[in-house]
Amino acid sequence: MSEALRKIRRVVITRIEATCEEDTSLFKMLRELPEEVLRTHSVASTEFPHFTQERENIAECIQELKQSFDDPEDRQIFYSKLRTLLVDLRDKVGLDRLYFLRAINMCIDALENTKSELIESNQVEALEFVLRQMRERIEEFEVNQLQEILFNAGLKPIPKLEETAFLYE
Amino acid sequence: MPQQNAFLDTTVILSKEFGSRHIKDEIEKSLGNKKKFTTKYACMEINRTFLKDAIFLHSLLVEEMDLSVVFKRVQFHPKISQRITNRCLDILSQITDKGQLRVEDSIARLANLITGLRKALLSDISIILSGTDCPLADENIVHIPPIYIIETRCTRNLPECRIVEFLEEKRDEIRKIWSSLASDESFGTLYDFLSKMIGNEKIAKGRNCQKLGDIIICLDSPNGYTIYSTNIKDFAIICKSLGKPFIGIKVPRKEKSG
Repeated sequence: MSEALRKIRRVVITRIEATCEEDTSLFKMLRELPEEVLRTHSVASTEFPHFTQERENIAECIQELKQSFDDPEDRQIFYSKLRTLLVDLRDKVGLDRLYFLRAINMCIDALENTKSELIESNQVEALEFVLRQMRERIEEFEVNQLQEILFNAGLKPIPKLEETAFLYE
Repeated sequence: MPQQNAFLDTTVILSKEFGSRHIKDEIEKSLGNKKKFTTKYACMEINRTFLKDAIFLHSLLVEEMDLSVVFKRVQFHPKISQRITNRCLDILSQITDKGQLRVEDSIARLANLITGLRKALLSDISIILSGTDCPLADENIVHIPPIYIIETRCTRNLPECRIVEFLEEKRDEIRKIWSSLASDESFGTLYDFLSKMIGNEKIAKGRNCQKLGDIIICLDSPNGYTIYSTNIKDFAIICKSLGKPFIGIKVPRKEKSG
């Protein structure tokens, strides 16, 4: 690993450590990230030119969710708000930004597959991390890596399919 | 007490993720904290069925860009079986939120399902090599925008395929299965096929291999592992004749609404 990457890794880990003093699982997860992911995602994306307001609202909502995490009612309210903000954003994005659209849908499905009462703080951190890395012109391999991050955090960033399996017997 | 090893067939792997709430609870309860295993052959079955259906639907959506047209094309497709039609309509209905979502979101969600399927299904399962060495189990999804492709066709000529040698090695065990099927008419087709195949294993190559899927999965299960399936009728008799422990997970049969 190059010195520059080591430096980036240290900065990222220090920042995560600061925000995850009590829950170290996200810290552990990020420490184990492959170098390629780190290289791609070390700096928070600022490329959200057409949806600046939406991005700010989502970032703000994630903070509200984290702050209200210990209050189950507030947690549900901000969880639901986050989903609504993502759905609103989704409705404005077309197939010309397919991978961005995939990333948004991934987060919506992850939220829908895990109810607010069951989500863990490291999973909220993972969602925040993924939302921060999203760009309008995100590449396919980056979306696949973000999907991997959500899976590794124990979230399910795929559509929910119920009672489908028995059709395959 | 040593931890027990659970050997999952394709139906349990799919039901664990895409079953009803009830069946997921049943599976979770039944598996507990056992170590989970499966065979690469089951991975190939997932590629050949569920993943292929998803990729097929994705290609229709990007081609038509119109949900109602895609629903109709699947429903009235002249070349696919009713079984595949039912599976595809079910996935399409859920992916599109019963046709309420935009086609763009349906495409994006289906793409997420295709890219994330293996991780979703197999992340907590250790995969054992199949005695057949089926090379199709190792095939990866290729994205040639805007579509995805996966090779699931068996040409009978794949040099890596060891199904003939594997079935020859297991001939005695297969003979036991064959004789236990004799008394049950509902296994007539499989019984007739085994009658022709034992001693002439090369006829199992190619599409015939699919007829032996459940038997191959049971033969791939290491001794001492408990085999789990929701396909109780077929697996119970195969496992019993092989003397392998089996746990069947009951799926309530009902027509899906909507």
